[in-house]
Amino acid sequence: MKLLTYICSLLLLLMPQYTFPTEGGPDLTSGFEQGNPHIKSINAMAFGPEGILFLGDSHHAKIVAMDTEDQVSRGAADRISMKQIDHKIASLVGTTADKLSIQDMAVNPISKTIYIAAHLEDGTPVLVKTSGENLELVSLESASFSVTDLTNPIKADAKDRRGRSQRKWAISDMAYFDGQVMVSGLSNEEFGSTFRSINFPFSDQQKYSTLEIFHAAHGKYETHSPIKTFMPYKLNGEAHILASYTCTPLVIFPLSEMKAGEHTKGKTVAELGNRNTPLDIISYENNGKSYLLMANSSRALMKIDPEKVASYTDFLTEPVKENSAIAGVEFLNMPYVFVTQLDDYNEQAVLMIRRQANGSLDMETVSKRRL
Amino acid sequence: MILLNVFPKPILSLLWIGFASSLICGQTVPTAVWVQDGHTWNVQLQDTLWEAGMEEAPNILSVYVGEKAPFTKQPAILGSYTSVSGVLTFTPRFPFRPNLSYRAQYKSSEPILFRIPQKAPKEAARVLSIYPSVDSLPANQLKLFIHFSQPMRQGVAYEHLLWSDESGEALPSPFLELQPELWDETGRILTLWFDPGRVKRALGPNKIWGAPMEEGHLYHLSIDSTWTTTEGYPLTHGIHKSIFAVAEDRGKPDVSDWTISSPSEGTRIPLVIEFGESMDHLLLTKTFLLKNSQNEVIQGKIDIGRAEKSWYFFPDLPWQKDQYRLVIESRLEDLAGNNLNRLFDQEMSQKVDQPTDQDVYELLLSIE
Repeated sequence: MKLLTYICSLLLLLMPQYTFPTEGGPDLTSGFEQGNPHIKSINAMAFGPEGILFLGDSHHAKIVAMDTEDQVSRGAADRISMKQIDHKIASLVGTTADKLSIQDMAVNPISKTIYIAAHLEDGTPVLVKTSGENLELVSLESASFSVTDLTNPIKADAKDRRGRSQRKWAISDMAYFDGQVMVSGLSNEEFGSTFRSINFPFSDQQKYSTLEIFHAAHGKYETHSPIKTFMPYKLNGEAHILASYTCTPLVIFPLSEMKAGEHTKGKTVAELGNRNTPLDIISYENNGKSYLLMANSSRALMKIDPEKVASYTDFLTEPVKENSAIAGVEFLNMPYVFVTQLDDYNEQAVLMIRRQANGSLDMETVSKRRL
Repeated sequence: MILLNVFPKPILSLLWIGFASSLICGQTVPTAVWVQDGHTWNVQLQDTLWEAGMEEAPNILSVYVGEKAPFTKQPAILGSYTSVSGVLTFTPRFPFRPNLSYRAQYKSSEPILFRIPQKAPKEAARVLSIYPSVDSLPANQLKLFIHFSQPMRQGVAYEHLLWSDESGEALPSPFLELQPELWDETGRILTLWFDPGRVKRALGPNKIWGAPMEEGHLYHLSIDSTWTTTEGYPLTHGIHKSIFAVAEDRGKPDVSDWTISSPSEGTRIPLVIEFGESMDHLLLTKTFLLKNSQNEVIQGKIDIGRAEKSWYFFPDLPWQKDQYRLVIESRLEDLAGNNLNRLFDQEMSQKVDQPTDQDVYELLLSIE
C-alpha cells in the first residue's frame, strides 16, 4: 500500500499538467479553451460543480463540459410558472412548437437558473436559460469548454481503416458524481449498452468502465439490459447507481462493483409497471428526509423512500404475474402525470415540465411539502 | 417609414413580386431580403429618421412567429441588428423557417406580415429500403433498419409507424420507443429495436404482453407519408412491409459453419462468405476486415448478398499469393441479436452455448 502511495505521488509529480488544489479546491476550468465546441445535438445535460454544465452530444458521440459562468446566486424566484414553455422557446428561435423538441432540462444548483435544451426541426440544437420571467439564448458557438469523445472501446484489430463510420451512441442519460461524469448510452448497431464513468477534468488518458445490468432473476434465462435512466445515490452510506429500464424497472448496484469490461449483476428492487419508460429520476429532501421521484412516459410521477430501497433484501426473482402489476419496494403515485422533465430546484420545490390536461406544456415548481 | 427590400437570389419568385407590388401603394412596402450567404432571410428597415442608438433597435423593430400572437407576451425572435446608411437590418439568430409566417412590428404600427416560401426539395423524400430485406423473419427478430433518401426529422419517428396484424388491425407498438432515437450519422438510417423486454423470455413484459411476433402470423409495418425531412418535406408516399414470423432463431452464429470462397491469385474475383442464415445488414458492412500476412488491411469494396445471407469483398488490387486473415468483430449479430460470443437470450441450463468473451474471430484464407 505504501509502495502504491509512493508510486502515485511520483506519478503526480511527473505529470506536468497536474495542478495542486488551491484553497477553494481544484480549479476545474483551468484546462478549458475558449471557442466553438461544435455541438451537433444535446441529448442529455447535467450540472457539475462551479456552474459547469455537461452536454451530451449523441451525434458527435462526445461530452462537452461548458463553463456557464453562472456561479452567483442571484436570488432566483422561489416559484416558477412558465406556461407553454415549448411555444415560448419556439417563438424565440423563430419556429413553432410542433417543429421543436425539448431534449432535457437542468437547474444550476448554484444560481438556480434553469437550462433547457431543444432541437429544431432540422436537428439544430438550442440551449436557453431563464432570466427572471424570460428566456435567453446560451451561445453554443462561443464558450469556455472542455470536451471528451466517447470513443469505441474496440481493439486495434477492429479499427476503422477503410473510412467506415463509427457506430453511434445515443446518450440516454448523464450525471455528475464525485469527480466523474457518468453516461449511459445505446448503440444504433449491436444490442447492448455502455455505462461509462469518465474522470473530470477530462484528460487524454480516459478510463472507461462499462456496465450492463445483468440479471438472472428467473433462474432459467440470463439476460442483460442497457440502462435508460439512472442516478448516483448513497444507500447505507455507500455510493450506488439506481438505474431503470423498460424491462428491469428499478435496479441498484454499488459503484464499487463497477469494473471495466465486466458485467455487473444488478439487484431488482421494484417492478414499477410495464409498458412504461422511465424518463427522469431525481432525489430531493424535505424536512431533512430524502425521497426519490421518477417521471414516466405512461405512468404518474412516482415517489419512493430510499430507506426502503436501502433496506430491501427480498430481491425480485420472479416476474410479476398480473397484467401491469407492481412488486418490490413500495412507491406512491403522485397526482402529477405526463411529467417529461424533472429536477431539484431549491430547498422548497422541485421543478418539472409537464403536459397539462388542456394540452399546455408548462414549466413549474411544485412545493416539496406537496410531494 | 418601413422599407423592407427584396434582393432575390438566385431567382425572383413571382409570388413575391406580387406581394411586394401590392403594398407599394400603401404606407409601407414590406418585402424581404434574400441574403446570399447562408441563404437566410433578413428583415430590413429603412428609416430616414433613424437616430436612436443600437440598443434601442429591438424597441423600434421586432419580429415574431405567426400572423398574430398565439398567446400573450409572445417573445420576439432572437436576432441581431446592424445599421448601415440608415437601414436597420434584423438578422434572425436561427434562419426563418420555410413555409412559416412571421410578422415584423415597427414601433406600434400595424405589423407587417411575410411568409418564407418553401424551397424546392433537393431530392424526393422516400423510404429506400427496410432491412432485413426478407419478408420471413424469426419470431424473435430483434431490430429493423429503415433507410431514407433524405435526412428525416428526428424525435417523432414512433408517431409515424403503425404495426398491425394480418387483418390490418393496429397492434400496440412492438418497438422500444427510445429517445433519442437511434439514427446513423447521416440522419438517413433509423434503427428500430423490438422491445428486448418482450423478446427476452421470462422478463416481465414478455410474460405479460408476449413476444412482439408469434410464429406463423403475418404482420405489417406501415410508415405514413406525413413524416417530414429535416427541411420540412413529407415523404412522397407511405409504405408498408409485410413480415411473416417463422420459427425463432435460438442459435449463435458460428464462423466455422460459414463457407468461404478461394479466389485465384492475380484475379479480382470477389471473396464470398456464405453464412447459411440471414445476418444483420448494418453490422455486415462494419464488422469485417481483411488483412494479409504483413498485417496490412486489404482495401476493397463490400457488397451484401441476397437476403443478407452472404458477404462479398471486391479487392481494389488483384489477389496476391498470400495467407490472408479475415477478422470479424464478435459484435456481428444474426437477425435475433445473437452475436458471435453469446445468445441474445441464454437458457442457463444450456451448456453447449456458453458465452465467450472474444473481441474478434478470425478465418484464414490461402490464396494460391
